[in-house]
Amino acid sequence: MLEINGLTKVYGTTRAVDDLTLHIRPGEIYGFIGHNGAGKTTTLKSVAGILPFDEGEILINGRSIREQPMECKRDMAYIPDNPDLYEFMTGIRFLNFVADIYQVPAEVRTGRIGELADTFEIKENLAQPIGSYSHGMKQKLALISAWIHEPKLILMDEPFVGLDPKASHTLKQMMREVCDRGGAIFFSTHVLEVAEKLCDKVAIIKSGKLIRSGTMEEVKGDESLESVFLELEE
Amino acid sequence: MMKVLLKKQFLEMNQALFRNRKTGQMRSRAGTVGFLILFAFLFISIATAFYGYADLLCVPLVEQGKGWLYFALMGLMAIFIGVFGSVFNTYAGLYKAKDTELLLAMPLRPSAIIASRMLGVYVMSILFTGIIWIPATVRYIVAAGRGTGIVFPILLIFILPLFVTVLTCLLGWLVAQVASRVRNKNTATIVATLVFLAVYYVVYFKLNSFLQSVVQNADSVASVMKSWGYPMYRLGLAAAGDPVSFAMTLAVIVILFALLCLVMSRSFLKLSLGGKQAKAAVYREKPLRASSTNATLLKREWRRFTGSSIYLLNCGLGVLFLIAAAVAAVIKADAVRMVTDNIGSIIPGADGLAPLVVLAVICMFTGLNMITAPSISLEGKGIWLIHSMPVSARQVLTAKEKLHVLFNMIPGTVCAVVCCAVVGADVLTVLLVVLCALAFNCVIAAIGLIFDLKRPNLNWTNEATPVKQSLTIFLVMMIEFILTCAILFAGWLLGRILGIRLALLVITVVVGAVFLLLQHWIVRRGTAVFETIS
Repeated sequence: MLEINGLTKVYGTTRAVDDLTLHIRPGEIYGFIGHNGAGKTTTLKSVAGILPFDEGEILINGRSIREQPMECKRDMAYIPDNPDLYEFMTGIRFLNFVADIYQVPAEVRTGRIGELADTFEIKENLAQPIGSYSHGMKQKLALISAWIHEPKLILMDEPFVGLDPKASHTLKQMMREVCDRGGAIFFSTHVLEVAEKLCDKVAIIKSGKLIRSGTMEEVKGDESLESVFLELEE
Repeated sequence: MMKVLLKKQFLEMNQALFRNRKTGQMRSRAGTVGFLILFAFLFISIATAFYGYADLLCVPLVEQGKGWLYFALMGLMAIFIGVFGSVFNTYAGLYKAKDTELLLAMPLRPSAIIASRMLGVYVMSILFTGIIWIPATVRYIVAAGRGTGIVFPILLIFILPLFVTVLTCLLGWLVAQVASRVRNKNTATIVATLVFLAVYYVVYFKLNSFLQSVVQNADSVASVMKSWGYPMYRLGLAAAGDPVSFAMTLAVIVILFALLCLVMSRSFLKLSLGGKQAKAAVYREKPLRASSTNATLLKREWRRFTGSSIYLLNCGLGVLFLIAAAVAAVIKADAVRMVTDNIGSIIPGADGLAPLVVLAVICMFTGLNMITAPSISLEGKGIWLIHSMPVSARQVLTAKEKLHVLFNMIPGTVCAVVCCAVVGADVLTVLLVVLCALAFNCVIAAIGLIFDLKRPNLNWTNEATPVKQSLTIFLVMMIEFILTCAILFAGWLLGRILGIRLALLVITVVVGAVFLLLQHWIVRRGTAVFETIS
């Protein structure tokens, strides 16, 4: 599903991501953890085709994000850590805009948007401008927009920030459903308990370098993910 | 604390002056000096124009011993321009700045936050009132000599803006009160601004004849001013050197300002953070319509444009001028024809070149609609969205240009056809005027886009920053003006030799070629630049 090979991104003289290699297969929820500024967001943005990178290759379903960005982007969705959406649109106009861009058939989108908005309990608010939404509502709207076109790969940067407990629970279920359908999830988080319970695999990044990756059991062994993470970070 | 807040306020106001928005680096000293010279040139040019108005009134009124009436009238003009110039920024700057919550979370008194923002309004007011009051004072000194009395009008350069600040803040406060109660804030802002602009232009066009009639009827105007405009009478006396009136004027303005500060500090929290809210709209599910990707991107640009009163009013007002020009041409058809039939006696060698004037008018007005110029910057922090979607940079940039061209094309064509019909141009000439205006429109769209691609500013806290306070907008406006003059001059030069039709054809081809060159850059380099903007 996603192959990151030798990814390197340099800002000035700083190697924000340094020769990172990760492979994510269909059906996997892959957690990405690391301290602030470790290179998680840079990696996710590079995979999403937002940031150009200096070395390495990123393949999505065998296609290069550099060579075939449009085809790759059609297969995935990205949610940033801070959902800055179009505040001049109402929620429903924004979702319809996203559905148009991903060419979701008209007869499908109405039902799908209604269903997802019901799930996240923001259906009534869809007629209001996004500018009037709280952070949590924007996050829910961003999640709905990511799910509209049923992407095979979903990239999320801190997706649980700002969500209420019910919405967090719903999101975890939806993530599992995507993987059960043969999709994959690659997300960053600082909530190690969530990562430990939810992820099939995990990768730990420190100062741009991958320091450990594998199945949850391989990474943490008998210890908790938190203690392994803190040990590795020292 | 206040010092820090003021520093932040001025940094935001002057960031284009000292910092390169693209690199985030401080500008070179030469760059800052160049910018300041440009600004000073603009200020002096406009002030010189107002010196002309002052000249009409000053000598006749001073000779009649009515120096106070001169200052009262110039004061009225200064207050009007001051309020007009600052009011657009005031509401957005005082109540809609994006850093309100951030600042309120800090150990800062709300009164300090509002005071720092009001000081920003005061500085703007000094600029706008000064553009009239300074030349008026200079003209008075030239006419009445340099006695000790000149200290009063000079002091009023800083006192009068305090009164303008009171009025603009009051207007901003009223707008905020209304905005917190209406659902469609954007429409309300647009309607209010258009009404204000209509009043402004009526006053502007009547000003010359009004000033002349004031000079002719100075005695009756003076008695009306004394009875109905007593505060202005006192202001006039104060400026003309009466210490008692000066003290009264100063006291009244200071008291008004203090009252305003009290009202503002008490209502700031409620108005900035919501307070009474209009009833929120509730979504009712209905079938959604699908559109093609290109149509969707165009709709996105349209919604951004119409969804922001600041963007719409600052970059779309030219359409109203185009419509007004067409209506005025029909209403005043005889007068227009009289001028165009005798254009050769006004401009040597311009016989039969009336359609060229029509073209210049359309270029001037469509050039006011600089929709593409802030369009990249307005993506703001949400630019990640379009970068993460399966759309090419070319599609995104084309949608921006398309909106600019379409928005201008329809009223531009209507205006061209109507005005050309009034001046009696034949069908072929009308067609050439329309084509040339269209080519010009495309060039302005491309130039605006290129400038914003080169100097994007995504880190704004208020939409007014990229739309109103950006060097890109200023440069595009200057280019639009120079290009219009170049078209007019080239048309006059070629028209004498080749005739109007061939001249228009040549200009259309040249302007069209310029557009193709600019478009070539956008497709080849601009798309790559856009992909790296984040």
